[in-house]
Amino acid sequence: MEAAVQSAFEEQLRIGEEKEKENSEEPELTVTHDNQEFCNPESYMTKSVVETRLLNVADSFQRQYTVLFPDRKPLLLCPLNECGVKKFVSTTLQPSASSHCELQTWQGCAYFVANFLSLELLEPPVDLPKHLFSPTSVLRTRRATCFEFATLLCSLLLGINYDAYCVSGYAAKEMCLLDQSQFPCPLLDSDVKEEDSQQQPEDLLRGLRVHCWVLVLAGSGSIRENFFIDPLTGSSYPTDSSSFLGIESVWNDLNYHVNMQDCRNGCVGLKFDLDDTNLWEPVLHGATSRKQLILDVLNKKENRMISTEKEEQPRVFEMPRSWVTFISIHEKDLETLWPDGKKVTFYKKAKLEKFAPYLNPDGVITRLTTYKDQDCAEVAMVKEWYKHRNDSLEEREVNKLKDSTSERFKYGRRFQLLFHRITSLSTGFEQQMEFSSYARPDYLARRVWSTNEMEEFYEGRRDFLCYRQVIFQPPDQFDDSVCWKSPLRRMRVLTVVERFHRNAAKPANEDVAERVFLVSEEQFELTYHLMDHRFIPSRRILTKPLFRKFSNDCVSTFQVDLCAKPLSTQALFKILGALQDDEAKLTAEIKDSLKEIEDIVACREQEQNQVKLRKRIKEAVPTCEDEEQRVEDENSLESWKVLISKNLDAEEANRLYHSLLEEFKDKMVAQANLLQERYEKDTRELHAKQNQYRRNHLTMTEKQLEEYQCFCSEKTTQIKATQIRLNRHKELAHERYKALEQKLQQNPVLRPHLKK
Amino acid sequence: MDPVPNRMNREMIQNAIEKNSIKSDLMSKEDNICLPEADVIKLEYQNIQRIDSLQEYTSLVRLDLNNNLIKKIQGLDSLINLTWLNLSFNRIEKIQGLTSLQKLKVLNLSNNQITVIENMDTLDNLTHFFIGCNLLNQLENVLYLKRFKKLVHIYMKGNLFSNEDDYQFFIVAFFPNLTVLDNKLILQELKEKASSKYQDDIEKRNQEESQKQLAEEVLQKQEAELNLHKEAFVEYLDGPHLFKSMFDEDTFSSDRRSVPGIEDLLQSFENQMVGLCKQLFDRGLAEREQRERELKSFSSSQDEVETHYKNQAIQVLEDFNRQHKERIKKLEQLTLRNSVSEELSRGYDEINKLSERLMTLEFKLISKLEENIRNVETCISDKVTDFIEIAQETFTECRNLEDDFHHKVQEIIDATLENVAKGSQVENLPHDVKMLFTDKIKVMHALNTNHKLHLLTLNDREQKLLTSVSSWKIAFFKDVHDKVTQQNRTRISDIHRYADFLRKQLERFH
Repeated sequence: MEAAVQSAFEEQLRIGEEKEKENSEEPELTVTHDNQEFCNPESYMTKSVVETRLLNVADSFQRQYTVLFPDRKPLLLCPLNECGVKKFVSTTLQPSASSHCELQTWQGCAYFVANFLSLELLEPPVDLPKHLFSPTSVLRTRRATCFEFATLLCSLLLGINYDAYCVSGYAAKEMCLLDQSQFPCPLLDSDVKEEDSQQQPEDLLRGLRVHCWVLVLAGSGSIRENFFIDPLTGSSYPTDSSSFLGIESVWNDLNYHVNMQDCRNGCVGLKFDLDDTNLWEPVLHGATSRKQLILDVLNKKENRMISTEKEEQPRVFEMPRSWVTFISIHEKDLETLWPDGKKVTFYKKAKLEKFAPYLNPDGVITRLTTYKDQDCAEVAMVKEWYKHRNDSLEEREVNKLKDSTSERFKYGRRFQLLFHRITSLSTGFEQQMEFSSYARPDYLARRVWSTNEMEEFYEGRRDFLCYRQVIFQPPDQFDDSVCWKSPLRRMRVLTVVERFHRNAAKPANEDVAERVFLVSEEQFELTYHLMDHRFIPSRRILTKPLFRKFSNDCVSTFQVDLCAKPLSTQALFKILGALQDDEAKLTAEIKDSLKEIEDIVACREQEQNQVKLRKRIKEAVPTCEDEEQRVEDENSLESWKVLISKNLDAEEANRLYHSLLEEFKDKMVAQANLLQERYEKDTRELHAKQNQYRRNHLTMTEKQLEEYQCFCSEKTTQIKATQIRLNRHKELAHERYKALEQKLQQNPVLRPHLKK
Repeated sequence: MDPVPNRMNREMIQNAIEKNSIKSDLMSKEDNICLPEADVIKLEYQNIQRIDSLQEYTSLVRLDLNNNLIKKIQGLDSLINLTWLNLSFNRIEKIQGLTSLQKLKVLNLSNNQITVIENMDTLDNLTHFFIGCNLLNQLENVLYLKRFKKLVHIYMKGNLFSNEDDYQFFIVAFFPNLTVLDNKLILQELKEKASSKYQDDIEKRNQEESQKQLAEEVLQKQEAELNLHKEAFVEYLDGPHLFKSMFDEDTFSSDRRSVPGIEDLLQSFENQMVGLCKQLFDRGLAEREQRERELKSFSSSQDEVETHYKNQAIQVLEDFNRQHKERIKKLEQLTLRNSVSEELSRGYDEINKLSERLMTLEFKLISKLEENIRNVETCISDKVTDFIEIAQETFTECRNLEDDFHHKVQEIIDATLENVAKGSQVENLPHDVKMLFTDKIKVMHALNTNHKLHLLTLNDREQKLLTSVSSWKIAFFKDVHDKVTQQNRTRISDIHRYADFLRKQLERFH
């Protein structure tokens, strides 16, 4: 077979490689995305003695099974692996743990498996597959059947000590085909009541569709109750879920159990006591079960092993170790997760798209589109989540039903803005803004601006102000069309209403609860807080004495407290004076608020046009390049090696050796030159820009100044980075050259021919 | 030449105020009379000998009487709002007359002839104290100022002790919260040096203070406990107090005791009675708890009801006020007599409706509140009756015990008397007691009186308990009821007055 020839050849190369690698007993095959030539280890391509014996046991089991239960479907016991070799399913499971914190829980593993691999449907859907690829190859190709999904997930779970099993059985159509279009999107609020969707046409193959999922039993890993995990979606289901219609068999890396219970009602009522041989028929009788392993460990801990006498247990055939090599998962895989970096799922009236970070230039990582109708034709709302944006935008929702665009930001951006929503009403626009009140000097928490009215809510102010409402004069009629565009600052204030919290240091009667500035009528109205057990507050109405002297007539008071002395004219005069001062201050504050509203809109527009993603910290550091460089060096060698035939005479070998070294040297020099060039170019540009600035800085506009500053800072960082790279490059070039020299000298093909 | 002294009187004060007051041309002259409203009076360099005529200026906040000829601090008793008092450069010899100035923060007595810091107990808010250039000679006297927890600035330069070496260290060490001494900021190093010098003294003082505080706390706790017991009407019932008080006025108690057998009887009697008292005590406390809980829930439900109606009233008022404002605006623009009078009449109607609505709310509120009161009253009455019954039972049992005891004692005494009369050997009896027992009548008489006295004590205690319980109940509910009625009346008068106020607003359009 072709495979055999190729394998022998590759094997030789690999052996050479092995000797050079340090500290590896089992060859650790890292998963990369480069399409390299991959060499399968020996265990993948051959059957060991124990395995052959196991296959015979399985064969005889299968035969007995068909005789005893002729009406049951054949079991999946020994499918072919990717190299065409028959392997028992239990040995395809390789319990492997990883060090990534995301993969320490079953939820994390299930999520990873569901998203990392893409599904290949079983063809035909009612038959068991003939092939079961190993988890390592599936991780490489990223395509898998549901059986391979389950095998990978089960391996990961076994590695972190869950009592997990692969289950072969039957499931509902939606589950087998990974069709979630009838399920509500998990991101949407669950109080969206789901009306009973129109009944789907009955699935003709109901109960016959083969599916494979994972069962987790209680007892290990702090699991309290048994549950199923569907490896295609990563979600968990209780064992009596109606999506699962029957179980044929379950297996883990220690044994294989066939289900003897009645599955006519689905998985309801199934007992998962695998040690009970009446319910679950094991393939290997008496093999160590998980429970026994745990007990053994405990016994050893208690030192109950009497070394002198050990009972001779009848030798039982145990499940051999897995033939799959260690599964290792890269950090990169966890980050980019989805093949192509994105995933689209269709739910009921919704579409959910997930992207890897940095994939989209505007930083979108999730997009949820909801539709008005079942057929997903009319968009009702689009909600997007972002990450790493330099304008701190985290969420944006464009709601067609309410005609609004809302944006939510991370703490700490300009204006301390946290939330911004623009709704277009029939009468104009409404703009709502929320801020982090404790970070702002004016303690503003929320502002709502709609046609001719502005409301502001404050929190924690020392003057106890909690609410301010400003009513403006509506603009002239013919200006209606441009009322949004005209500078807001020019609007005239008609009335201002301010409300205050209760200041406990003052008696209720003297503590102003609300004050109204009737600007157009030149009046002030004060309402005080309610006294204890009173329902009517004290009030005072003061009128500005424009053409006359101030007298008691200018004030009309309703005093609730009968014991209070009426205030003297002097005191009233003082109050009026204070109010007038406040009025002047108010106009300034209102102008500032209006300006801020305009600024926020302008700022958002500008930021939207200049979206940039904040760089990952890792990318800025050049150190990880070292590793990659070394691999690169060696890889370039590999390509040469493939061309090297076994018979090289001395001359050719030497020539090859020297030319390789020369090539490498040239490459190093070229790189250094490139870096140097880049450095010089950047410095030149920076100097030019600085000169320009020095000549023109008096006449530059604000925007240009900002641009200049941005440019400068960027360029300086670039220059610095290039400088660092250049220096390191010079340092390391020499070392790499030496390392390459050594490698070539030790290469088995070249070595015998090299002159010492 | 001695400066000519001036009399401090109203005229002088008013002139001073007028000089300092705000531009009076913005206010019409007639309204400018309210001078007692002044908050600052400066009367420096006025050659004043005696402080006088300040009684009506109760809103005074700052008073400067420095650089005068004042010999005695007096006449400041009505100035309760004073926070700043400057009496420097006078001829004051003794600190006095400052007791009513509780809000005083700044006190300047520099350049006088004061020898002792005293009589400043009530000035808790004092933050700045100037007493430079006086005749203070005792450094320890300065420690008098330690009671002012808010004191941050002391100026004492120029006194007799100011030249002593430790002057600075002493003050800095004993006043850790002081920020400025003699107009100089106290630096950290100085603080450290000073505290290290006087460490032992400071520690001793601190210890004493903390001990005092502890003792005070203990006392306070005890008092609080006693109050608690009193509230439960079972004070002093948690021990042998009642028992012992029964025997307070007994005659021959010690003699009687020496008769064998009586001691044991006494002991068992005591135990039983103490047990009964304890039971009653515990029950009393439990009952009190229950009552408290009941009353708490009562008051919170009253509050709830009130808030509910308050919110409704506020809503009604808000709606009305809005309408009223618009109506006034409209009236200002209307000119036709007919439309004006129409609008006005509508206005008056609305005011009447408002007052009706508010009154209805008020009546609903009061009926609800009264209902609650009735309910809680019945409940508490029941509880109280139960408790009274139990108390009465307990006391009856005590009385029975006493009777029992009396009988038994009588028997023993009888027997002893017989023995003594017969002349037979009576062991363990001291001689004088034996003599006592020769007079049979006296002994029996004494026994009987004792018995009666005991019963009297018990009855007294019982009565006390019963009367205090009932009187508490009556007083409490009367108080509650009165308060509610009072509030209701005030609110109704508010409604009427507010309606009048609103009507007045419309009157100018007639």
